[in-house]
Amino acid sequence: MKTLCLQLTVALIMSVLPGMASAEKTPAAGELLVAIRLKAPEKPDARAYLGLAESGSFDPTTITGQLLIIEIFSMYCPYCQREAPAVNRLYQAIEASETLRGRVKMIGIGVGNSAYEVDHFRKHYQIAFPLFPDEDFIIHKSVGEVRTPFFIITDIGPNDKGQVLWTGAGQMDKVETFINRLNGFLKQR
Amino acid sequence: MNDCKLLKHVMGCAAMLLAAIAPGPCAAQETTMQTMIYDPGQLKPVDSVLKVKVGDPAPHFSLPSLTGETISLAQYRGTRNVVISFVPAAWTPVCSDQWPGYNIVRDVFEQHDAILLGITVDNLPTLFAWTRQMGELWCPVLSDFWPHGEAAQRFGVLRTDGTAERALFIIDKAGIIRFITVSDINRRPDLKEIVDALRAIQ
Repeated sequence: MKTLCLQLTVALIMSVLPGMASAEKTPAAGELLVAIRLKAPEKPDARAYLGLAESGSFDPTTITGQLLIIEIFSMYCPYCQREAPAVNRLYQAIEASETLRGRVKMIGIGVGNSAYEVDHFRKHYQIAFPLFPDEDFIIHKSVGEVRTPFFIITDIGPNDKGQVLWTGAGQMDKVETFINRLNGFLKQR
Repeated sequence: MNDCKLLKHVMGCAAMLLAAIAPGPCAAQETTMQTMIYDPGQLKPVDSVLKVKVGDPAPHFSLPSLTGETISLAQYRGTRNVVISFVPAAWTPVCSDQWPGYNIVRDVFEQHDAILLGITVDNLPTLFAWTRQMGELWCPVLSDFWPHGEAAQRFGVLRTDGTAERALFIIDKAGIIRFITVSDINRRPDLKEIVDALRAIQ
């Protein structure tokens, strides 16, 4: 009977795991970022920041620069709300840095958020980097339904385009720590 | 241990293991809120029949709030528009991140002379523990626990399992219902719906 029970347990776990395949797709360092399509921003300055010549949809790994930070967030997540000022400080530090500005880009993807909700989040926290809605959780599912906020640093340079370099969940590191991490990756490029 | 107990024990261990490795939506909440959320799975989208319609006087209710006050709809007559947000139950997935979103739209409500009232059929101790995980909510949180779901019943949003629908009502300063939406219980309503409705009654 014990053997039967153990077999049943293993069978139960194995039967559920395929349904949790999303958990296996959580981005991890060393892997390629899953294919993501985003709608190009309407604002010319946001398109210029991302290096997008045209409207329509685009692959975030085609953004100009060498590193891309993607924040997976939700307007409704109180932890994303609390982290928003720290994420803003990171963006400001990047833009203030001679070595990082232009080489490191940032975007945010609001999972389960409509365009209106993402825009409200942007206005409320005065977020200067581009945010994109993922209203139907399509991107969220493709990145393993990660908990929010979740941060991904991806290589977008010509040699290792799309390679995930680092991921982090929850409360952000100190800005200095994050900046040092970015500098470290850039030195290796 | 007999066979039946052993089977239950092993299956229980498997369930705990699966719970431990299952994904969830909010990283920083991992050790707090998200590990305490009960996921009922996909539910029947709507399971009640509205008893009111736009243009009707809103049904009266008077409910205890988390602050200890009793809040009546009538107390806002002539001074505030009232947005009522019924959510199904504490400690469930969509409900747990609906009101925190409204925390950052307080200014929008105030621009439209509106107060938000959050209502569930849970009792006050449950609501206290649940909403503490959401940060500081600016809106009154009301308990429609006893007589169970009476206010929800008056609006026609009490489901057959005793939970409430995910429903929004906007009542103007004259006490007239100006907007109703009963959402699919499995999905959060778009914030824009509320904002557009508030603009429309100005």
